Amino acid sequence: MSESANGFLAAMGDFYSQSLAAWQNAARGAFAPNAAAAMPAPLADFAAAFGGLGAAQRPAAEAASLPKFGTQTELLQALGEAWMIAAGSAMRYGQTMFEVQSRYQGNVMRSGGAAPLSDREMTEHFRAFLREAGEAASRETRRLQMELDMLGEKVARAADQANPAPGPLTPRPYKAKP
Amino acid sequence: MNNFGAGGEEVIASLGFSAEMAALRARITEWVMGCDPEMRAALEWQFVSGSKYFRPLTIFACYRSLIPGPVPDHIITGALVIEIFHNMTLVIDDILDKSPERRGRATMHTKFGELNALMTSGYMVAEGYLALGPDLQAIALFSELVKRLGVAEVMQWRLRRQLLGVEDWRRIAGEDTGSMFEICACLGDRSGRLRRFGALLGLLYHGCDDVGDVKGAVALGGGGAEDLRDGILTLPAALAIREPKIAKLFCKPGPTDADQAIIAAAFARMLPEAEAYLDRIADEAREEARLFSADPAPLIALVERTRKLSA
Repeated sequence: MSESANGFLAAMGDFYSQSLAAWQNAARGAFAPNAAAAMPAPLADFAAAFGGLGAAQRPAAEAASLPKFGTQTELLQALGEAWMIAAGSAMRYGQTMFEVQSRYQGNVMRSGGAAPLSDREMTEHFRAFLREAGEAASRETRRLQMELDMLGEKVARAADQANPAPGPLTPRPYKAKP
Repeated sequence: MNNFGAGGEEVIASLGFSAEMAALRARITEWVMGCDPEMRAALEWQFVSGSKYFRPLTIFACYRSLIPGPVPDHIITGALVIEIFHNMTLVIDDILDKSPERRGRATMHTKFGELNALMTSGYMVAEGYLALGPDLQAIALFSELVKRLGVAEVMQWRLRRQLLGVEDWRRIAGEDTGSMFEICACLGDRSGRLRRFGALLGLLYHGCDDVGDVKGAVALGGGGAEDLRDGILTLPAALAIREPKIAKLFCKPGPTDADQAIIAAAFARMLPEAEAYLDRIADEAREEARLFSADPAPLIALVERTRKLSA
């Protein structure tokens, strides 16, 4: 593989590393105490809006005094959870892509020193790399969709309990149509 | 290539599907008895040939991995129809391959003639759709299956004796056996959540069958000699033809017996690499089961059992 291709893939690797670090920092910092002070204004507003996150960790008495589901606080908590899920998904995707690239680096980015591969073998490795990169994206998309669906289901069930509808509770299907 | 090998009943019992499988067998018998008398003898012959119902089992396992409790009737109907459609593909395969026997018994066209076998296969498709009744989702899934299987067979034949690779094998196998198990997963989960798991299970099954053929595992249904003669891209073939000398022989039209012996030996040399590749597919399938099901145990049991098919 040519030096320019090597350079391109190495740059992509750096990009993934930097993106991953940025996401990790964002996730660590977004909900830390006094994090809003160090943030740009829009992100600080966002963090302030989600300041009530983490009801599960609160003392039981305090949690019991929370208003019923459907209030702004509860909805904001759910939104915060959705943000955490999305951020976690982005981190996982970056990590997976990094692993896929590392696994194929030896073959796809092989240069002069290593034993040469035939063009067919090189092509085969590169196709496998592209397939795995696509599959990683697809898997993470499905996983994110499922986790958000589960959160939606949890929110809907909590709302049902707070404001019970007449008749039996109908479970919501994961997806209504194929 | 449609059974679980020895111990199939134990697998069914260990997965907790004995009642569902008994219901399915009763439905198959009832269906055959209700068919036109002109077709009944051929259908009885086809459906008493000792299938271990791996495809219905996949449907049941996918259902159970998401929803606990007994498998409902409409899911069992899907299992009945997948068996009907699967047997239709076997009848057609046997005619095309000119196979006199399958699993030690005469094939339908050998016993009843080609005309009867072809007409019975068409009858089976019509009966299958009829059995689905108003289940539009299942009708759409079976339509997808029949179209993909047809395309896969044509593609596989067009690409015979060509210098292709493992990625090409994945695509062909994914559309052939892979599509069958993909649809089984969708018939079981009814949401598409386990579609990818089904695709990987089918790919694993196809690969284990390829490897099993090279190992002479007749329990899987044979077919290895025909694939070798016809230059069909199996997993061991895709690995072996990286070697230029083998590639030349593989692509040669009308290979001699001596050529085929050299190719077969090259395939055998690739078995450890093929097994390692299948291990990776099994890992992917397990990961899918863990990520996308509420209870991955039945799905992982299917993967383990499938992986043993080439052992």
